[in-house]
Amino acid sequence: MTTKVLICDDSNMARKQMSRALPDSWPTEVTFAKNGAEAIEIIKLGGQELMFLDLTMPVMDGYETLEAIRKNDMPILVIVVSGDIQPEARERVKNLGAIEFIKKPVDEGKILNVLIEYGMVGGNNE
Amino acid sequence: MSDSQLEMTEFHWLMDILQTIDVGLVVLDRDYSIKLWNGFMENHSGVRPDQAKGQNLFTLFSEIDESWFKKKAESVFLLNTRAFTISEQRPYLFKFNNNHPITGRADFMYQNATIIPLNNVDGSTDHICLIVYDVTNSAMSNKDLLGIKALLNT
Amino acid sequence: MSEIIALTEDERDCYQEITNVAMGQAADRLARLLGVYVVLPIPNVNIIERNEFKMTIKSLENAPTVSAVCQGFIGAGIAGEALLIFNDSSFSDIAQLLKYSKELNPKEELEMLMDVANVLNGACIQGIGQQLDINFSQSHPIILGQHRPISELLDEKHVTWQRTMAIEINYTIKDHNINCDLLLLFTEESVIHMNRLISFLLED
Repeated sequence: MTTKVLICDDSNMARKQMSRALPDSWPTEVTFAKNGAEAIEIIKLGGQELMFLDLTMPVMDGYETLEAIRKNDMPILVIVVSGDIQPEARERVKNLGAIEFIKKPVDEGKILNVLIEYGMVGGNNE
Repeated sequence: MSDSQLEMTEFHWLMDILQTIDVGLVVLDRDYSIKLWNGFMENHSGVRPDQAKGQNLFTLFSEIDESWFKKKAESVFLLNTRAFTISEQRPYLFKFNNNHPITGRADFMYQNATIIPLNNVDGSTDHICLIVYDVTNSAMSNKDLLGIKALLNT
Repeated sequence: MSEIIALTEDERDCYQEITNVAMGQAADRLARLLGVYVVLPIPNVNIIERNEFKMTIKSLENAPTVSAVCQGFIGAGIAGEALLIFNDSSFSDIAQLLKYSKELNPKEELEMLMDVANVLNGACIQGIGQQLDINFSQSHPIILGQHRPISELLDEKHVTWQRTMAIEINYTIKDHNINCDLLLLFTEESVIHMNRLISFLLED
């Protein structure tokens, strides 16, 4: 079964790094968005299950995106991936409903652990 | 921590310090072949330790006046005393770029240098250590000061 | 020899992203030092000509006077300077956060300037180095000027370079009147090296 994953970051390189960090064994269909507004439009089309979201972006930043998702009760899990690693940033995104906070540059091991934790990818016995 | 562990830790600290200190450190043998090359030397010269080690100092850095340098260094080998050179004698030993390449006014890094003997257990000296200091700031201030003094005297 | 440096869109994006991560690390340290939240902007990456440099600096701060500290860094063929420009009106708020006395004397102002410069410059340089796998040497910081109009910071007569890659980061602190700019300046030669280094990050 393929998981529909949305990667939202204003940096082309960061989008690439993020998609490369996803486990090879995990069947996904990845869509990209350059800012929060684009991401919201894509989520509205339906089907997206998980989003990796950057915070510092033009047009609509990560915080605003999380707010919009909550306000519209959109059924998507959000993992924030950010260079802003200040304690307040972590706390704010958790309060806005993000399930996890991962610091940049992304670490493949960390991503895998989070995906296992949330049952999106099987553990070692897979 | 046991004594030997502590010694190992200390050794690692010292290695870290040698690598990070904003001072150039080079160990040379009797033939002026490079035996040690720290982070400052690597970063400013662009020559990695594995490229420097075993190479002759004067072959690798033709800007160093061999006979001038040897005169200073031979006395260190022979007399087991330290030798000092200051930027007023020669502005630099190694031609490195100014540490402040954008805001700085100097075209190169002014250097002071110290050569110290490294003794064997029996007291003889087969190796010397060359210590290179970046003195660009004080050299430039000195230059400015001399300029102002000259202006005042005219 | 004089290969004119230029950046492709991908390269600019890459430097922006690398800086974004490095300045995030720097902001995290400043946030912990001062107990505040540092607002992170999107960094600006540009190649600037020497005759545009003054303009660039001027456009950073509209304060009548500023104080500035710069620190050189070098490693693996890459050399540059981190230039921290501090809006003078920020001093009283910083003093409060760092628990200095209300009436600042020039010595204390210098102390604060250096405290902030150490954190921001150091973390940014290290952060960029880490991502490019370079252990940079850092020189001692130099005061470029205290309480001076921004246009007087650089002695243009002695400028020896033609072009530089400038990365501008504007830090502001939430709920406080604190504003400073960190300018990372790389020599032309360094940019050629760095473009080569980042090419592996840009591969598909």
